[in-house]
Amino acid sequence: MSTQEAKNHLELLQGTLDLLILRTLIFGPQHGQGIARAIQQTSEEELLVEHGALYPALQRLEARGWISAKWGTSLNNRKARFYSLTSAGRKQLVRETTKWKRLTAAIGRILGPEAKGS
Amino acid sequence: MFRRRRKESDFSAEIESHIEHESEGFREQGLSEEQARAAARRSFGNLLHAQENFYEAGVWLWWDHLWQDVRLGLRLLRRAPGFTAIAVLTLALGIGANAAIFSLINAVALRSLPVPNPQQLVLLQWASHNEPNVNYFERFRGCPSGSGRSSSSPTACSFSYPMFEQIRAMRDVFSGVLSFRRTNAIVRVGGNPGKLWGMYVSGDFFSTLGARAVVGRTLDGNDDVSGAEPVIVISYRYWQNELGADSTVLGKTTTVNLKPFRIVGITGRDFPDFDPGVPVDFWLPLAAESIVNPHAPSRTDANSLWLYVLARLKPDVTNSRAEAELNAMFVSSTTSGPTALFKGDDAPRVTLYRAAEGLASLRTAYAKPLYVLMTAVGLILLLACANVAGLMIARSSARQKEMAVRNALGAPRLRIIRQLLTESLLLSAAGGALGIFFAEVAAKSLVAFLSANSNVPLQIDVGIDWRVLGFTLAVSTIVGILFGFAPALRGSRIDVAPTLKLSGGQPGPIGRQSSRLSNILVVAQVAISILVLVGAGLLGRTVLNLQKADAGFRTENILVFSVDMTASGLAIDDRRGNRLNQELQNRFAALPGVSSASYSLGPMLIGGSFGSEYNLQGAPPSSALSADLLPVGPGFFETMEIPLVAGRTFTRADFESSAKPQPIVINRAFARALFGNGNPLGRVLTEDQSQTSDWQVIGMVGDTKYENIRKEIAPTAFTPYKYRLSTFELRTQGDPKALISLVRQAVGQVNPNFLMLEISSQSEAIDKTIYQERLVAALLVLFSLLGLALASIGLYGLVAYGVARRTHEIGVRMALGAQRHEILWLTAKLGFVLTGVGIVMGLAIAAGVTRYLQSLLYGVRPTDPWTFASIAILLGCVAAFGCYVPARRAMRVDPVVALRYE
Repeated sequence: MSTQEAKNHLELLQGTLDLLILRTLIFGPQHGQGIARAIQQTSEEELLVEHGALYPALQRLEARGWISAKWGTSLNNRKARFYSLTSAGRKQLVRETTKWKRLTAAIGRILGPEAKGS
Repeated sequence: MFRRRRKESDFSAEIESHIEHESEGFREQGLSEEQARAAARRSFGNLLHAQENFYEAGVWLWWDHLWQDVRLGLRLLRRAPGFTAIAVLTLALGIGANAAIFSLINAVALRSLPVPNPQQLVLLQWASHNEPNVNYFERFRGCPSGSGRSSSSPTACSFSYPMFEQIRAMRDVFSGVLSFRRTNAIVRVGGNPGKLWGMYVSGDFFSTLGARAVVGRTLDGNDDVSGAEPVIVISYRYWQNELGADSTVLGKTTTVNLKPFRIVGITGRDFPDFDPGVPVDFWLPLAAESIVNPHAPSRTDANSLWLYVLARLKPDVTNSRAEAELNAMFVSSTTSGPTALFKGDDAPRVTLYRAAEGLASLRTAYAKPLYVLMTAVGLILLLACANVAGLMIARSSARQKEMAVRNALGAPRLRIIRQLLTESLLLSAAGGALGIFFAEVAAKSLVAFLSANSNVPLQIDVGIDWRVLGFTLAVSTIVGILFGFAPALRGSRIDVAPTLKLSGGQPGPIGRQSSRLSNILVVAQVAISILVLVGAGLLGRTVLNLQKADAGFRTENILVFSVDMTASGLAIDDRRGNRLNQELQNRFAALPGVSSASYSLGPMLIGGSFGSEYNLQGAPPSSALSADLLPVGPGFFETMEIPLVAGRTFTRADFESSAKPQPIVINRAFARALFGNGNPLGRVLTEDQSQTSDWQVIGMVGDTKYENIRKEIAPTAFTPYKYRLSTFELRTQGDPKALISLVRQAVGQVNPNFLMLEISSQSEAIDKTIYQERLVAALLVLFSLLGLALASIGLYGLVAYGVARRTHEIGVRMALGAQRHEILWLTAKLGFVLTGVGIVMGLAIAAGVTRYLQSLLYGVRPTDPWTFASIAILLGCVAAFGCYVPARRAMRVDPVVALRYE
């Protein structure tokens, strides 16, 4: 649904957005647009967060009690809704990170050296 | 539904803020204001979609869907008025019956007393291994664990006054202790005297309960000392109903058994009938009992047990702590000293029973029948559920197309289930609302029946309170889910494509699963009806047996009543009482329509009896015979038509002399027990372990039942009755109750202040003693007819539905030459098989559970084969009819029409 010009971005795997949001928030409270930008920049522009999916995801994380939200003022003096990590969110992040690392390592082992060659 | 609510406007603001930030970034990259905004919007993607996602997750949608479901449900139900009416009515009957019985249980057993902190109230009951050493001992009704008559472990709720004072002194565990006892008396306030039930209460009765007077004051400690001014408190009910709520009665003088008492107050409107259902209309100080009743137990005697004791626990004291402290005191003070109540090894102990609901005499009296009835109505409700579920299944197959369309249009399965469940909950809510109305009517008529048949006036308030409403709401909801769930699950499981291909009015193909479900439902219905029918059959036979039971005398055409002479103010000693009895007897006997008249100490067959111990003179105490005793007037046996077997009955002369031995008449059972086959005539008996020759047998009469019609015939002695306070028996030529006004005139001619009380015919009196059985039987018969009707409707529906579905097949078969009876068998077979299975299962379950009815039965075993067989046959016939009617329609199918059916 994105109308962004095709820059050959990687598509986010199902379920990884939540993990990335939690991870981004570990550096402190951030608003939605900031989160999207941070993910984009930290991934060296490889990952593009579809903004339409970002807010429902934030909504979902908030409902689960992993993040909390508060209105505040951003760096350039604009009103924005800031999200921060709760302690439950922190635990969830650790769990998910471990899971993700095991998963990628396993997939890496299966794909093996040929994949490296390409 | 636990999501936090977040407003849509808040969400839009966040999106807006996002776009601002984003366009700022684009501006920094050198885009113009407008271009930056457009780029930001573009990069956000579909704004509407994001907002929709937000909405989907929100709370609003949930309500929206619910509201949609409700509206759709109502519309669909309105479009099927027949289905809706039958379903709602079935549910209303089921729920209503449950709510009615529950409101009765609530009224007599569950409702707390309307006093502050009722949960702190405890009733004291003692138990011991041996009978206490007492001068006077009352066993009260309404003791929490019954008042044990067995001498091995006697138990009672009665305490002595000194013991009450000792308990009252235990200030560290009880914040208040009160005592009381019930009484009845002739009370006259201004106009007519009436016999009322009341209480003697200790001075702290009202203050401990926390009750105030609505007019005047309640009783207090100053009233409860001997020599205090005699005062009385009147119930709100009596004040309203009998005194016209006249507040000038305050300070007026009333008489209680002719003794003057000043009215000082009226209790509050909601002051409890302490024993739910048994009304109390006046309260007197305990100390005033000696004024009304010269034989009142002494307040100083530790060996007279005559008071209920009720205590209020201190807020921080547990039941077990209070019990421990109480027992330490109780045991030491009742097992020592010369007047010790118990021996040390009797292990006496006191138990504290929760008294938040008041005393329990009604609970103990009605518990069994009420729980039997509750079970029966519960089963009826299950039946009703099964029926409505059956209807829903039939309907859901008819609605398969609708479901398929909705599914094809994108409704997820969960939404369809929810929709169907909403429909069934709507039905059950309607049923519940109507049911409450039924319940109100039914409970009122039940109470009317109960109080018409009780010797103590009953005041059961079966008002619909929050507990009944809550119960009904819960039952309706559970019922709605119960009968709605399976059909909803099934209705939502649809194969879209083939279903949509079916033509217009055709019912969908019936799944294996749904027909299995309908079959199970029908079997369950039949089995449940069998259960209720067997219960009704057993109780019905019990009532027939009881009504046929031989009392030993002719119970028809006898008028029974008592004459109370206390209100006349005459000083009546026994000699004068004897003369008055005989004068009344002569007047009654002379009345037109009366063949003969007599009197006795009390009536027969009303649930009470007197008794004594007799022994042969000089025989060891171990051979003493404990027998029932009824002192009777002249002509008693002739009036009652009790046959004389040997010797003679009493003559007038027997009532004049007081020389010992006195004449005594015994029944056959008595003679058999004490003399075996020997001739009893002329034998001399002693009474109550005395060694003097008290009685000489002058006659033997036939066996009669005495206490109640259920009881086995007991050895019974009849002695000449020479005292006051009599019950009169009149043998009449026609309807005994037609003579009441004539008899009342005759009483008035002897003394205008004599009261004629407790008037009934002998057969009515017997009916009253078996009213529990009659009530349970009548209701069970009613319920079982309801169950039978429901089950046969279920069967009818099953077979009719099968016929409708197979019309085409039947047409083909007939066209191919099938015989009509083959078609009949083809369509009705399933119904017959299911009925058979249901009957067998029902009988098996019934055989296992009817023993719980044992204590209510008379003259019939819980597994009476005749009852079981006839119930099975009855149900078989009704079920066969229910299958035959629709199957006959199948037989009449015109093959030509049937083949064109599609």
